[in-house]
Amino acid sequence: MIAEPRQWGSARDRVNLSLPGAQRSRQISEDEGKRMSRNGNRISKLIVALGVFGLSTVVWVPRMSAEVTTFSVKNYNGSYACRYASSDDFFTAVSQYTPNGAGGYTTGTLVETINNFDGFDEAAPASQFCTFFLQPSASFYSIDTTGLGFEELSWIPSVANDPVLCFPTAFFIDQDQIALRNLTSSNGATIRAEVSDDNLLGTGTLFSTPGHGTCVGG
Amino acid sequence: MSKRRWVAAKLFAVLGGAGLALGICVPRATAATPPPFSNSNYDNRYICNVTSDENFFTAVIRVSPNGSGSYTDGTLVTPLDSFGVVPFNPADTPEDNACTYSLVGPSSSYVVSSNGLTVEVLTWKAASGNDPSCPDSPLGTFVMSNELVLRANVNANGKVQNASLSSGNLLDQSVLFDFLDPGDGFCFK
Repeated sequence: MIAEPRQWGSARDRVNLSLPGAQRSRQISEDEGKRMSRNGNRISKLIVALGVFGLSTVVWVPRMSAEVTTFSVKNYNGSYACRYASSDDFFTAVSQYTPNGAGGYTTGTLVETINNFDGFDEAAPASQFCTFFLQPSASFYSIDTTGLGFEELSWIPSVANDPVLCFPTAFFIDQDQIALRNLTSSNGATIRAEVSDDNLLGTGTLFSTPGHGTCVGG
Repeated sequence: MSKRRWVAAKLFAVLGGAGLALGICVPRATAATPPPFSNSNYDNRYICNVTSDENFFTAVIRVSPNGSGSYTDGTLVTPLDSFGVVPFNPADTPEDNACTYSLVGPSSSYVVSSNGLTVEVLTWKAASGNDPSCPDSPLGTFVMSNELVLRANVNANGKVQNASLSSGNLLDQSVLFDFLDPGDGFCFK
């Protein structure tokens, strides 16, 4: 598109003074009309730009999601990042798992610090952690209508774990009590759950070490 | 042609203006509101994560304050594992490995001060199905007193989004065993 040559001066300045009076008036009127039309275009472009900005804020700025009145397993759905700590914060772990919105799980990984069970050394970071994988077929959860629920998570140790220092060395079952926050994403999944934990890291069968934690979605 | 374009521009401008108005006027998820607070700011449904005794005792709680100083209902759930007598049994269901309590509405209340400090008294009744090693189980009650501080972060309806709490007698341990460790935690709407 070729830009219109910019015109300087008012319509009256560009009038051919040799024209008779009536023609001169007509030319002034036509030129002013064109100028007004150009100004009108500029204003409409400005309004359109502001409007596009306004529409984009409607679309992109996060809105308050509708509150859930009756909870179900559907409200615990998607990828959640969790942190856990046991009594005295002695045992700690993080996990990432994906409840499927239907009472089961798709995947999950739990990582604890080997420092839970042995003194810290300065070896490569990967050897400072113990990793466990969720067995979806042996794991499940429930959510009642008030947003409270339970979950049973079956974890198997990674074959790469340190066989002496990582605990447990075999699969273990972790059971949690969950409370879902009533703030959901657009698909109705809660953005956050609070957790109380039975048998955190499989230590509950040896001695009482309940844990607690938080899972954040999104 | 030019006239048609002008009409289209006008239409787009009107739509754009409406979009801008919506962008400005539709309420956002939260807004900060300074005190004074009142009972009406603590309303509807909150979930809480509380611990005591160096995080040995833990619980998750759901309470439904009614905005006028009392509660509609509530539930507290805690790991059975906390109470030592019964070791964790992976063969039991998650429900059996937990102790559950329901809020006794008529014996529970709260008062929100204008600065957001809130005293709540929660009376919990043990579920009939609780293991006997659960505190006050089965069917006994205990009173838990919490001091909350409401955060000045309210939703479009003026309801507080989260609060921090200090708990006296979490899970009745202060009375049953004379433990000195009070509990603490936080609540989210």
